[in-house]
Amino acid sequence: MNRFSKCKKKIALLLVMVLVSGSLAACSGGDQQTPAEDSTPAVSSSAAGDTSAAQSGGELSGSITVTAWNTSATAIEAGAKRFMEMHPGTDISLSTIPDNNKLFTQLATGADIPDLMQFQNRDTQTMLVKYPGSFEDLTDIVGPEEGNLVPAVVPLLQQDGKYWAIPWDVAPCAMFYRIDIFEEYGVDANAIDTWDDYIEAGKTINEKSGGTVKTFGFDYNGASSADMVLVPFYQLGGDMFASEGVVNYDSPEMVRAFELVKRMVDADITVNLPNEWTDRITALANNSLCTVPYGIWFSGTLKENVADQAGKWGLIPLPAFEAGGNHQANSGGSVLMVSSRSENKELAKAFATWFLMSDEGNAINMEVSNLFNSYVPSYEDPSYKQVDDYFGLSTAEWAANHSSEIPPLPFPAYFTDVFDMFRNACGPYFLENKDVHETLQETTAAAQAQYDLLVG
Amino acid sequence: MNYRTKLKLTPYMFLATFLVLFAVFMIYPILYSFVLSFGNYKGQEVVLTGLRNYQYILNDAMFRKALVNTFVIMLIQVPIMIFLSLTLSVLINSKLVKLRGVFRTGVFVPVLIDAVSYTIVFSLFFSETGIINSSLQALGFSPLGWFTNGLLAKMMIVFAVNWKWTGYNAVIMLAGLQNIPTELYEAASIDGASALQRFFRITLPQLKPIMLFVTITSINGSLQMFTEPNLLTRGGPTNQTLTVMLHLYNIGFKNFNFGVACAGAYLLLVIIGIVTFIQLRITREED
Repeated sequence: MNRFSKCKKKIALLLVMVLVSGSLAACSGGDQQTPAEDSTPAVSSSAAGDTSAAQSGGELSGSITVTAWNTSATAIEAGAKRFMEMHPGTDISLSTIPDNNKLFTQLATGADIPDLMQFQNRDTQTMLVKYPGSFEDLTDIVGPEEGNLVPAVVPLLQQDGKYWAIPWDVAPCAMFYRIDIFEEYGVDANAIDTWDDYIEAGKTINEKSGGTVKTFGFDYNGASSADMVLVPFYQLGGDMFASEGVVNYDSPEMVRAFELVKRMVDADITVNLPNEWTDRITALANNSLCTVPYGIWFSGTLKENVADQAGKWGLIPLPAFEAGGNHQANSGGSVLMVSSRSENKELAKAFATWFLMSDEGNAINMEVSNLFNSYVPSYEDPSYKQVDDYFGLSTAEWAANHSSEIPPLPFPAYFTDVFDMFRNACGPYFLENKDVHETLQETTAAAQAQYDLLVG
Repeated sequence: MNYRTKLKLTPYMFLATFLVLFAVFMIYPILYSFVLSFGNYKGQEVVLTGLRNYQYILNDAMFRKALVNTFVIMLIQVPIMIFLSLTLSVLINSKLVKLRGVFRTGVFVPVLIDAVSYTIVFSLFFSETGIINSSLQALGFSPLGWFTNGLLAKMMIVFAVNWKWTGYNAVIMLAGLQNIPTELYEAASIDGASALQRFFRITLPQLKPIMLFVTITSINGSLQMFTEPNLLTRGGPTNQTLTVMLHLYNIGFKNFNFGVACAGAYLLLVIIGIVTFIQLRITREED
């Protein structure tokens, strides 16, 4: 073997090693789904310099970063654009994220926390106990507006008598349904009063479509979402805590909700959506799913993701458990919170106040993303009456008419963790047909152990 | 500084970049996570809680389930992969095969592909209407519920992991094969040994240290499996593909019980240590 080929071999070996180490590094770095990070410049030094000007009570200036998801992000982006026009010299940059997983890590480590953050209603109290000191006291801006907010959300915003969050949207539930599909199979949506009626309608659609159109889609396993099972649970006024600090999933409300959904599965009117959010959009787009019971914000999701189905979607109230029963529930909703580490709290607070507690801000929320916000005075705004071409009605008006009997929102501190553990009960029941009480009790025990560890 | 000290320091200077990085990104996290495993991380502070985290994780039914899943996947995956790697390495080492260079590169390519990308491709293959199920249907079988049946979901992960790592192990074994002195084969041929005899009496025994290395690294790899179940099944259906690492990740980065996650990681370390020790013992006794 001559020296030349030996040398070539060495180079080849080196090359392979470089490639391998590169790919291994890529593996370890790419394990998590990292949210999109475009357009998120860190607060620049000039912005930090401007902070003093912003805080001195003069004109607003400087820059902030905001995180939000889904159609809320679309709305706040439009809001930020308008706000920056109104206040030249301000810079609000948005980071659209699929969920808050990365944000939780940032809060846990105290690094790179955005100035303004969107949280689910159900997570708000948990954030306050899990990341104490991370959020700014907002009593001076939310306190005076207390009487103008939807009463159900007020307890979620407070801790120790102070306000820590500005309420964004609330989510009265509607049963979204495909008008054209219901008509094609001769089902009258407006005649659906109870869940029994709903199941019958689903059976008709399933039979007449030869099994190609299902009525109810959810993740049987609960791993990606448990929202669909929880809509009837919230409708019944269910609570995952028996009393403060005592977890109990095996409540009459949960058992009824579980058994209702199981009846749908047994009636063959359901489709499994293992990756619920994206699989649902796919199922809707290819016409294999014809109803979705969700918060009113879902109207914005439909408009954005299945724009070509305009005019085909209608709204009816949630079916009741029995004739004359409650037709209302809340599913979703969110808040904005300001980081206590923000270098430009004045701008963050001013923007959030304008965006969520003014008619102009709420009109943008409604027009861009159909977000039904918690600020009651805006319900009189023309934007809340305007007919939405996609649905042929005003979704805001519809929501306002279907929110009077929503049960209280049962989201105390550590709900986030108790909710997360709850998902484990879905698979054994819906996929493995285990006993409902046994499944719920087993999961309760695990959740209680976790709760005690977290609190203790 | 005199010449002698300089001479002694020089190698360390060359190693300094590595040593600093290693200390910051390996040693420090390892020590810090050990401290964390005895505490509760809350609001950027660690409150020591003694053995509480270990007590919790040992009583955690899900952790035990994850351990069982991980071992089941490992017991299916590693033997299949070792067998395939050995077969492949013998084939691409054979002088009868043309274009050996092409094949050698070919089997190695999967390692170079990013784990996330290939896992997403596999999830498309195995989806309800993916190429696997449509092929099954075309052949007259009914489609399989890769994402709804626990065993099938485990098999899907086994396929994916094997696809990625078989070639890598085959290349390592190939290096071992090429180190076997050809004289041994010549002598055996002269003595009239058949090809099979040569394989079992010469190749396998000579390859033993390499096989041991490959087995240990593969077992360690499967015990720490994360990407494939996280992206393919998210641990489903009903947590039947929940691996230990995935469970610890959920505890750590979904629920932010860093303490418990660290305690679990150290338990896993002990388990891997025991498994490796047993393997080394078994092979030593045979010698």
